[in-house]
Amino acid sequence: MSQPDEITLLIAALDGEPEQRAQAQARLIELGSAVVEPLAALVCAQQGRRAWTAADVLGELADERAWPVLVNALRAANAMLGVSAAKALLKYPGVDVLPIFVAALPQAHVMAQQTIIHALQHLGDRRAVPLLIDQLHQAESPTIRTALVQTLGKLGDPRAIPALRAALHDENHHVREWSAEALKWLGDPAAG
Amino acid sequence: MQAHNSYLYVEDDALSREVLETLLVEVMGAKHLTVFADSENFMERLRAVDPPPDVIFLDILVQPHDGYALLRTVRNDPAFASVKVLAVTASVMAKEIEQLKAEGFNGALAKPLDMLTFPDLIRRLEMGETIWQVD
Repeated sequence: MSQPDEITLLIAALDGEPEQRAQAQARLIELGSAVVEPLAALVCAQQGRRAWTAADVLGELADERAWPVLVNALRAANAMLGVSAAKALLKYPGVDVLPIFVAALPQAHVMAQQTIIHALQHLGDRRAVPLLIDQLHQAESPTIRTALVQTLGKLGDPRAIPALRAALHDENHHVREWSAEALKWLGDPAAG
Repeated sequence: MQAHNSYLYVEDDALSREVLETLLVEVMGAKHLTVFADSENFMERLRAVDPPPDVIFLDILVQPHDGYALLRTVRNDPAFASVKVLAVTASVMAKEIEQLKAEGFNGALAKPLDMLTFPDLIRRLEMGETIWQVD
């Protein structure tokens, strides 16, 4: 079988069950450079399961040709594509992803937002703090606000204290409880 | 790895339901996931789940009966003696974890669910590990 034919079959398998997908993904990673452009096209199309499973493979390959489509996919309406794009971008070695995540966060699908916020927490980079504060003021989902106050607390930056104090009065009890906890981590007496 | 267990998730937060459903069904290929958006008539609905769940995720603050009350009703029914019950809670501080262990939960997951780490937690759960995701 020619390599283009094999790639076509492997791409079709990306829509399959988890074991079938995993085998196809492993083989695509083995094929390396030759699969980057066809997989980037799938990510661009943003259609269904194959789009985000392709993004997973591109993350493993960390090829610079796929970078722009993965960045664009952070804002995809396909929720899992946004999630997989964020995970993929984290796998590029030596690249500063924080400005990319910060720029994409306000427009991302809410599930991708949750992933990006957790990624910012794992990155531990305090440059994200002003944006996270801004998002805390805007986020409609209490789940997202909870993730934001957790991350602001974990980042340990005192600039977050006024926003966290305000969040002690949030309408949602999870947000209020986690704001108190985050303020404790920051050593703020308002935590009680 | 495919998720093979039968799962039940009791959760009143819509985004948390969407996240877990996407991860278990779409990403991990789980064939059996049932979701309750509240805890009304819980045992009656639990007995109707087919196949019966191997794992129950309970939001601790679900209404009208909270996760602790639901756990007690599950533990009082011999038909569910072997089911694993995990708390899904935003309160994962050490004091709350000790309380969850004392009440008889088999594990806990922090909420909001972290999509970066959740699939690995499920893999570990399916391998028989106990998960206490204390953050």
